[in-house]
Amino acid sequence: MRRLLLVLCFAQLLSAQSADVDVGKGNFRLYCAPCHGIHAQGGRGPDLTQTTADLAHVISEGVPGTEMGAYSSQFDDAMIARIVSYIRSTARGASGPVAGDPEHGRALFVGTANCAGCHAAGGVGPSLARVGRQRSPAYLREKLLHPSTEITPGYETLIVTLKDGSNVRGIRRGLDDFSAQLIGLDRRFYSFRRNEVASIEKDSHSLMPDQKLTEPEITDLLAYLSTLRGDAK
Amino acid sequence: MTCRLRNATLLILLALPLTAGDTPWLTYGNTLSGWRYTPLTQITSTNIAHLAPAWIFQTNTAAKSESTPLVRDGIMYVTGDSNNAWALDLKTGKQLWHYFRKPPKPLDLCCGEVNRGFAISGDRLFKVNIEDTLLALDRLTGKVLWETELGDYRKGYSGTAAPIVIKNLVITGTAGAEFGIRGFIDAYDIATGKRVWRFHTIPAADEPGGATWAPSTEHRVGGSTWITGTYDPELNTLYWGTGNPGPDMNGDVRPGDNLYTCSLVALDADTGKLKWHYQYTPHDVHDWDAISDPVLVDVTIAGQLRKAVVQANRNGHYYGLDRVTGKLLFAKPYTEVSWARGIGADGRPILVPDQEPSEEGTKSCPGLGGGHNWQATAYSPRTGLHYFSSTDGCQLFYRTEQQFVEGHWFQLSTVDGIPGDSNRHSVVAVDTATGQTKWRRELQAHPSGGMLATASDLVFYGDSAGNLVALDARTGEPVWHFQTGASINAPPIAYEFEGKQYIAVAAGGVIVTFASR
Repeated sequence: MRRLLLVLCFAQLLSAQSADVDVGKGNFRLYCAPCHGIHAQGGRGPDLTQTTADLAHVISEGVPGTEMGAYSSQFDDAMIARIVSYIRSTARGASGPVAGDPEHGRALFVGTANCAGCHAAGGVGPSLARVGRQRSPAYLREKLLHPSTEITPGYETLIVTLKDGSNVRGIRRGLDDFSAQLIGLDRRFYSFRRNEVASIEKDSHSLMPDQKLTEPEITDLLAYLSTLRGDAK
Repeated sequence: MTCRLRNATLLILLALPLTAGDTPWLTYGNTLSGWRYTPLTQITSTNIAHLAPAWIFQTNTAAKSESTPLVRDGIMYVTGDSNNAWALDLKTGKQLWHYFRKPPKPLDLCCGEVNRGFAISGDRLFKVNIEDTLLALDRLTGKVLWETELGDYRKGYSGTAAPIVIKNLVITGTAGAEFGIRGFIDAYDIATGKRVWRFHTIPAADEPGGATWAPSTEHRVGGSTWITGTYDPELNTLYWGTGNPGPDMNGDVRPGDNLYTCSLVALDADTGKLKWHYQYTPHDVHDWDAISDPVLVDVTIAGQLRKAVVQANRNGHYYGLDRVTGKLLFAKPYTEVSWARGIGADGRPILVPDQEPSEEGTKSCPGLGGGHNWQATAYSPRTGLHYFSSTDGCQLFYRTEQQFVEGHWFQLSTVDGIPGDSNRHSVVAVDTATGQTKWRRELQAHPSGGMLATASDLVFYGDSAGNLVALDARTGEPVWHFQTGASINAPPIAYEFEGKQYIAVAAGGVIVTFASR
């Protein structure tokens, strides 16, 4: 009888945990999936299937300096626990260090690949100072190989054709039905009223050029990017 | 709750009778037909270049206001987010009183602590609070006269809609279908706050309509009523749109049509009894609430004058119904639609297979927000056109399994964008007699704030970039715009004060009113 009770209790516990995971999955998809992907495998936000972080703390308090906000005022502890239950259910184990030579990757970054031209401090591209903490290696590889598949919000491309036929291409800083603002690759700020120009068009292509790197060079570059975690030197 | 009287002298002055030359804005849609149309003609396409801010009121709240201000007797009454409301002097924009009650915590909501406005009758104002209560306030002091609970916020109910007053009743709905509520439309005595009737949008199993939920359905939930309905006094009929069934995206747990979700219900205004219903999206699995303004128009179809109710539905079709019988007059798509090949003569959609949400994600058009969502629409009897915002595009719809937990999210999954397939925005003008789109103005910024039509053939709207814009009502060409500095999520209104026409709108957390200079 006691054994039967134990089995029943255990089954009940498993059922409750399963329900928690299901509810957590629903909440994850509403609140987390837009950045972390529908299956928690990363996107704009890190891959959560391989994380060992204190997720309850991260969800509650956020991560300063990143897009990850604090949800403690919106979610109670039980809801956070359910979301964490779901994320843990997707676990594929912690990822090891990214293969490759980070030193050589750094040399490429500031040298022949010329990433630093746009992504170093003061550049017109997104800062990569914490990118190793913010983005998964798989996401960075995809961005490196196909920069136009998902352009970082705030860095979309705009092409303004002037009435003399010349055009200005740059990073969109503002666009509505009456004006456009952009930062050109020449680091100049441009602002146009619609009636001053021939056309204003969104460009689905990223301003980041396609890379002509070998596979080992890509691996080294990713190894370097994964070291950029915003840690104090 | 705080209620402050800032200036007693101002109050006395405002209570004095006003001179002729005042045209008020008295209810959510200005008329009970939901037209959002002003007969005022001072502001025209030829003099609109002189339109400029007359005053700006800072609410000092971090809001994305969706509120329609009311204007009467020299005062503007406007609600804000998070249980705020103000009365403002029309002459100066100065505050007469401020109402505030801190919302309870925790309060999980689908879409923010928004509020869409007051109703007014005599010296009483009526509003809902986000924790789903209905209040009557004294219009000159802001003091609470009575308050009654509509639904229990701990079970997922919330209050966002602007009420309306019909005779001695104040009528409103509820929000919360994403949390497994049972929707309703309620009527309360304006003097006492006592409930006179309630219409449940989800019938019990043994009530008419109850059999449209399979007996296996464990939780008959959804059908929220979060946008204000309209009223025909000749027919004494109230028209109100209803929201999605719950859970939103997993229909397997609720086989059947799921009445009266995603429907228009026509109710006897005195009793709340159902006269007829029309379900736009039977067994909805895409969260396509049917809450867009049900606008009452009389149109000539095949040489016959018909009393119609028209709606730009979230499922991508524009519908005309006979508002006496509820029979379909016409239904035409106004945006890209993937889920139906059309609406049959029997009024039911002709479904395209394999459009249900899936674990892997199913592409459907329109997206979750629909072609047109809740944003206020406008109708001009001069042009016969119905003006509304449209978002054109598709999304991936996902579904999950989950047990129902009272008061918790019960959406059972979500949507995601499709890489390289961005949404497009437009303002659309549709002929209310045929459902044909007469013009479409494609836009860069989302026309997120709703519409206003004027007798001088202008259409005003606010956009997500902060512009208040005026279009030519007959062509859709822009004739004026002003950058307010905050995304506009509320519809503009028009009124006349001391013989002068004004346009007013809530932009973010400020109220801006415009007049010709």
